[in-house]
Amino acid sequence: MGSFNSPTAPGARANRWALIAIALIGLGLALAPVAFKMFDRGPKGAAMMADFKPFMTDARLAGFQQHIKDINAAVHQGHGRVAVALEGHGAAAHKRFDAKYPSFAQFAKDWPPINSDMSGLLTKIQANAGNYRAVAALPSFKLFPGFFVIPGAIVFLFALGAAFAPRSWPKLRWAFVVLGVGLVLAPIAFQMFSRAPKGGRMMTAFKTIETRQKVQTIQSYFSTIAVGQGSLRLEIVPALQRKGLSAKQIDARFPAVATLDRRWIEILNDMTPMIGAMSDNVENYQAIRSLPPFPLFPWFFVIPGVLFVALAFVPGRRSPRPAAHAAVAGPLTTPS
Amino acid sequence: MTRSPRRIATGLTALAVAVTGTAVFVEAPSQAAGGHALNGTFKLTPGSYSGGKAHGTWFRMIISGSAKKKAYLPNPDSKSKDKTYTLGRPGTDGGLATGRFQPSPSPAFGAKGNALASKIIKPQPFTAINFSVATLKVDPQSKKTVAVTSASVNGRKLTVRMPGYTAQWNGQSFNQGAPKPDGSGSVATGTYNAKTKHFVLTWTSKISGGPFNGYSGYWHLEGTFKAR
Repeated sequence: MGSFNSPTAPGARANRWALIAIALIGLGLALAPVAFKMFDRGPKGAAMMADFKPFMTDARLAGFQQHIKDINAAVHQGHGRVAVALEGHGAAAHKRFDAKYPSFAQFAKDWPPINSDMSGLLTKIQANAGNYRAVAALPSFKLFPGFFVIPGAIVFLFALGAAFAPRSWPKLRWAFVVLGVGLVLAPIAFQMFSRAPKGGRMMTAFKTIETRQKVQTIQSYFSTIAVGQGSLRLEIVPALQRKGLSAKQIDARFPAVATLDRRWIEILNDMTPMIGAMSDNVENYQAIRSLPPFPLFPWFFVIPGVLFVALAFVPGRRSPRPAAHAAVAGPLTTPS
Repeated sequence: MTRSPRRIATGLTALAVAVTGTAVFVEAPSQAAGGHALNGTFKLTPGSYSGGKAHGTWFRMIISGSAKKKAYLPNPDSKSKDKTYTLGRPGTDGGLATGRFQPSPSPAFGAKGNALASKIIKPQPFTAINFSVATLKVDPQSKKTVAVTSASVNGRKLTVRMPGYTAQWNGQSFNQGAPKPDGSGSVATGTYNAKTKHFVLTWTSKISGGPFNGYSGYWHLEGTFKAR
């Protein structure tokens, strides 16, 4: 790089230290995805976003909340009015009911904490649906490494070009300016300043959800709910029918139980894929979590961009004009 | 007679490819063999439960995280007294066939997620939605192409390789292969009586991905082998 201040080159020259700084920042930008393992983590993030997409609509999330409400209502009605209808009033009658239908009794006992946990979890997810959509509106995570590598590599190569061909500096300077401005404008164009912090909030909210332990807990809830609903569907409703109640009468007297029975397959169709998506994306979430915090991402473009523009305008040495050179040199070289 | 180094290198490469290729082709049947091969169908005895024990063909789902004592996912729709056993009934092929795949129909699921495969076993309700099994050439989860079901017997020891064995439920497919398509897990093993053709075959296969991720299927097939 010793030639970029060559006294023989005409016109403006790059400032040596500014050019070194540009090259280093460009190199840093190009290598950032390697340092942050973005080539591995980016596609994982893209996979997570794609897997969550079907579940992150307001309608679907409201549907999940409705499922929980329906199960809750059926548990209360099953353990309340239905128990009375089958075994009569009083503690002894209730004890008889629990003894006759132990699976349902266990479900009724296990349900309150499940209800609380699942409702809370769904509320948290629902509250972050907008944040999810903000991140989803950004370019795919798969492309993120390219956003660093491509401008970084171009800047680095141009800096090398400027170093080895000092005459190209006046043109390359403008290339750095254009790239710098592009890097500053890209986060603005992609609305990263508003979307990235939202992504950060989503990642924070999912911290307690997207863990293997939490997913296993939800899987165990599924087991509890399935067994309890099975008891309601296969033991308790048939017992009501044996008591002489028709399907219509059960529907009228115990609407919550009838509703859960009717909606159970729909609930399974809806909720098990969600549990699957949560389970399948624990590692993907952890991979994105290991990236730098989302709100910092716009600055990873803006700061180098500003620096490129600023460094491109650091004044370099100007080579002396040939005529002036001759005029100055003449008297010094002429013997008196 | 002199040969150029390039020719020698080409010749050696071709030899290596030929040897490797031959090894692959020789290895596949010998892995399945390990005795003598059984070609035909393992006709299944329907599952039943009596005397505190399950008999015939049945399946249990082992919940992950169990330590000393295994915990199982109950199936409220099971006909067994112990709801952790889901009893199987032979399908249209009578059971598990070797030498060919027994795929699910297309589409594999009904509108409500009920599995429609019915060659090996008849679809059975599992928490209100039918589940069934098929042997699939391409594993829907890993997208790997797998070897066809093969069986061998050595004395009384029965060994079956069926990486394409897949459980289907609620619109989803779960590989239950033995071994798994990536070669992990173990083969299915059991006993075979050459005189009576009676067999018992068991294996455990971990579920990877989906709502039952980390759980394992425990399969118990029993019946009579019918040669092709």
